[in-house]
Amino acid sequence: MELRSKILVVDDSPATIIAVRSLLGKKYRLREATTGEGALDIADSFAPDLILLDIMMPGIDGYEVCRRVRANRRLSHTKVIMVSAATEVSGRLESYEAGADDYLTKPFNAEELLAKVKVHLRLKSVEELDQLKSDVLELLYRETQTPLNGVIEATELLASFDSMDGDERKMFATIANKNALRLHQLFEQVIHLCSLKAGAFEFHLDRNELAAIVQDAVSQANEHARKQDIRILQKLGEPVTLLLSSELGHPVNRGGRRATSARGPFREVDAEIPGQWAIGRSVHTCSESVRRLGRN
Amino acid sequence: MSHASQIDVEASLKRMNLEVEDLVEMLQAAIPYLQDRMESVCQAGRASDNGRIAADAHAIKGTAAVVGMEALQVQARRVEHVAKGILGADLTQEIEQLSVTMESTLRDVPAAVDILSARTQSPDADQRAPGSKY
Repeated sequence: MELRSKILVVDDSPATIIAVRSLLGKKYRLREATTGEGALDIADSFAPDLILLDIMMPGIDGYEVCRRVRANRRLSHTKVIMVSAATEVSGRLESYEAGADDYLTKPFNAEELLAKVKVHLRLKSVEELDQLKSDVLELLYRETQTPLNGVIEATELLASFDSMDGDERKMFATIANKNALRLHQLFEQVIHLCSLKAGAFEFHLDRNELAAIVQDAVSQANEHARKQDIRILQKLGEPVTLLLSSELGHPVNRGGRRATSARGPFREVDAEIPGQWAIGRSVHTCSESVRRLGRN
Repeated sequence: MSHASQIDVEASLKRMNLEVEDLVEMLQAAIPYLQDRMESVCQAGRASDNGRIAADAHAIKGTAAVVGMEALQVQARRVEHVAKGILGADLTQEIEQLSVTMESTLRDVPAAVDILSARTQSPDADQRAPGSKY
């Protein structure tokens, strides 16, 4: 299982990058950048857990990189350790003002670097766990209200009216059962999400025909969509809406209509569909997501 | 086997717990980088661009510190401080001195690399053990 934390090393000095690679390369997944612009590009796709960031670089300096990282929602939990040959307090203060978590002076000591990296990665995990707890609680609170009421009301009615005939009893029992199943499904999804976040799933990069995956997902969803008078449009080759079960979020339909009835931790993603796309195995959940959207 | 030098290889190996091969690679990678920065300092000096002088001197200082080039690190810091107005001295002379220190330091790199390389080839060598000051 690939659980190694991701670290982005940013420094225009090759000697420093080699030193960091030597110290961290075997324990962590490293990416390297020699400019601020390059660092921002890599950070966006690599989503590092931690960035070791030089301050003085040609082009965008470390402070500005740090500010932009902090402004990127996707990198909100990423830890930033500034690394600089500057020993003045002003440099440290400016780093913290830019949003850095820590500061390391060149030439750094191996043990100090390793210790700081370890501590900040642990902090990040704790923060993410806290965030996940809040998200899950919010999700459960929001999403359980309707089905729970359905169960309560249907069972109360069943218990209250002795004169109910068989068909009526069956109808209310079915309503209670459907809502209970929805709750069950929701809890399964939450458990799935927590396992995903905890790294309990193994992901492999693989090359897949994204268009075929979307086609498959839409085919599966169509049956449910028809029942709800929903028409699913496929525009391959143009930006399409994909739902990936990767993060907690609120799915929103195109055109601004909020898909409040869509269940599950799905996130809306716009994506161009090229002929080939390197994408993780998790994409199979796309079909499930589209199916659910269609159902609702 | 060692001679008086501007590169404290021992300190770098010890402080950063490096493999000898890594330090060799770092020293080799540092040469063109430092030369480029020195050239940039000289150009900025001719253009009286103190901001750029300070930035390049800072970069030289950082790399010199990481690979154990103490004298170069000290002189680069002086240039940076003079360029920033923290230290009062003749900037042109300080840049000239930096250039001289750079030249003598880089002259020592091949010898240091040779000795480090020889250490890695010796079957009895402890690659992470501190060596001499080359």
